[in-house]
Amino acid sequence: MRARWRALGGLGRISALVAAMSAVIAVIGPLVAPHDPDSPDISKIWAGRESGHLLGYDANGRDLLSRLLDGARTAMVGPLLVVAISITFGVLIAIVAAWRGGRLDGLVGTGLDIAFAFPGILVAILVAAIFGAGITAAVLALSFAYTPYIARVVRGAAIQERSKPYISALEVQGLSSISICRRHLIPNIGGLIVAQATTLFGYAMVDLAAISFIGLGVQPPQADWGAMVNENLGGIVLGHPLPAASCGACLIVVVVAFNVLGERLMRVAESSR
Amino acid sequence: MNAATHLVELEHLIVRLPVDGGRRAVLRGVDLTIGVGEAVGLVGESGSGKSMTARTIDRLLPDNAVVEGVVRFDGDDVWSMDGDALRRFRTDVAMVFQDPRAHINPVRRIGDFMTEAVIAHGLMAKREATARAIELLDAVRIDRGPARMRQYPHELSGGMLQRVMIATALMARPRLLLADEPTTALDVTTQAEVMAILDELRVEFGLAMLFITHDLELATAVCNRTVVMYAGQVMEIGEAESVESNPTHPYTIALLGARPSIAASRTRLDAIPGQPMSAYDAPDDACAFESRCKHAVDECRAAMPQLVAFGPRSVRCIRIDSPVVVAAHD
Repeated sequence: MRARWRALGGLGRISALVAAMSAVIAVIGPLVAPHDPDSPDISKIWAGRESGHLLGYDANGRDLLSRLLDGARTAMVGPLLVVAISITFGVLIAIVAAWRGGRLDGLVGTGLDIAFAFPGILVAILVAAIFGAGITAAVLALSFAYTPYIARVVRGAAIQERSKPYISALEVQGLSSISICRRHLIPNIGGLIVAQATTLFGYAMVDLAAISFIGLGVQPPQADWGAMVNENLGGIVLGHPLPAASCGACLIVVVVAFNVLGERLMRVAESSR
Repeated sequence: MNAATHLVELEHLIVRLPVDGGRRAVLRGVDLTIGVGEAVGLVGESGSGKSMTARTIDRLLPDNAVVEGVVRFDGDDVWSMDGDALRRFRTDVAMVFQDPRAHINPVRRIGDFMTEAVIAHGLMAKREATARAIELLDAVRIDRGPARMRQYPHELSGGMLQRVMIATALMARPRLLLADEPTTALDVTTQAEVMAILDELRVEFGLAMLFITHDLELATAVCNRTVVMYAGQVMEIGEAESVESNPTHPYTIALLGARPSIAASRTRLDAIPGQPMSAYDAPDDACAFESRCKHAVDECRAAMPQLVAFGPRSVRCIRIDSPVVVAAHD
């Protein structure tokens, strides 16, 4: 554990701390928000900082810090769901294809290539157009779009792992394919799966923020970093850039942290293979 | 249980593996039996089909391999088994591989490796399996069993790991052990020790064994019968000691001539001329060894010789009766 922590490198360790901190904020943020993030005060629109309101007010006169804290959860639950769904299906597809091989594997490969043709955001927009805007539709659409990426990377690693002698040694002991995959194969490529999940979290966060920004994801008045950039966009030309910029900055910091961490985890996973 | 006279019977086994679109034969009609409790040594050069024979018995071939002929275990056709029959077969037959480090999951503890299969098969509860594993570790002369069970493969030496593999093979009380060059990857001093343990436990548990090696003398030391293979075929079968002391097939003779001897110090070994022939390069209408055989005549190139009885032996050579070959025995 300690050796792995060291292997992340300085930047990787900082990213891990930032990612962990953002996760903590997502959990406790809405609970520790000093004010009601959804109650507007028309007299305070674009008002600057004052006692008890550390970051001032947003376009509707709501406490900005409270909205940032509240929006953290929304901004991170969505990507978490995308990761959970994509990893579940991606790993399942990859393991079955890699284990069975032959024609099924070829079929899966072709299927993945076709699925690659659909960019996540476009699928999400399409789904929103059909089923109406909302976070659920966006999450499902992105999960569908990202599953092939996970499946492709994991399939490659699983095929390599399956060809290792210890797998045949387990087979001749009569262990079932399912228990070999569950207890040996998947855990042994677990580092790679975790690294992929971490990187995917960053991508999904950007995509969901973008979808919410164009109004097809999280709906107002619910606080969400992506939607909040849109809400407060007008402030930039009016000389109040802080509300929009702070949401953007939160997004950037968290997304960069997850991306760097994912890339470092990938390096660790590859070096230990 | 079927009243089979032999525990294992191979009947004209032909195995083809797909290579570059075509299919290449790796076994070209292998006939072989292993009796209950009998140790059979399988000897030959690289590529002769020794390992393939063991892998075919254990159904450890790639999915796209084509298998003709029959493998019977205890009277039942191995390649048509499924469900319970296959599960029973898997516990009846254990395999010891050449390279223990590659064949043990590196990130699981020794104890997990040893007990996983017997617990999964419902043969033993965890507590019972752990007790038996410690007992068997002691039998393969690994001390501090309980502590070893908590260690990881990288903490053990190659020789120790191979002994762990042997102990694991015995966990489910198998009836047949397939040992594929179990000492080749070990250094010389460990080799002798591991071999002694394997032989001792095999006799103690009354196991049948197919012992694969390229060392004819080692096969003689631990086996009842020796089978000499070349290019995917059996060349000679006989009682182990007599095959070594009195080889009849020119290939067996050449193989024995090529070994280094402690008694006589010679500057050069009598290497067999030419290249070892792979099964898929071997002709179907001539003796596979003919191109390297110093006794070869035109008839050797005219047809594939059959495995025929020669006294208590079976030998695949049409020249065994000829005076030249007989003279070469001495």
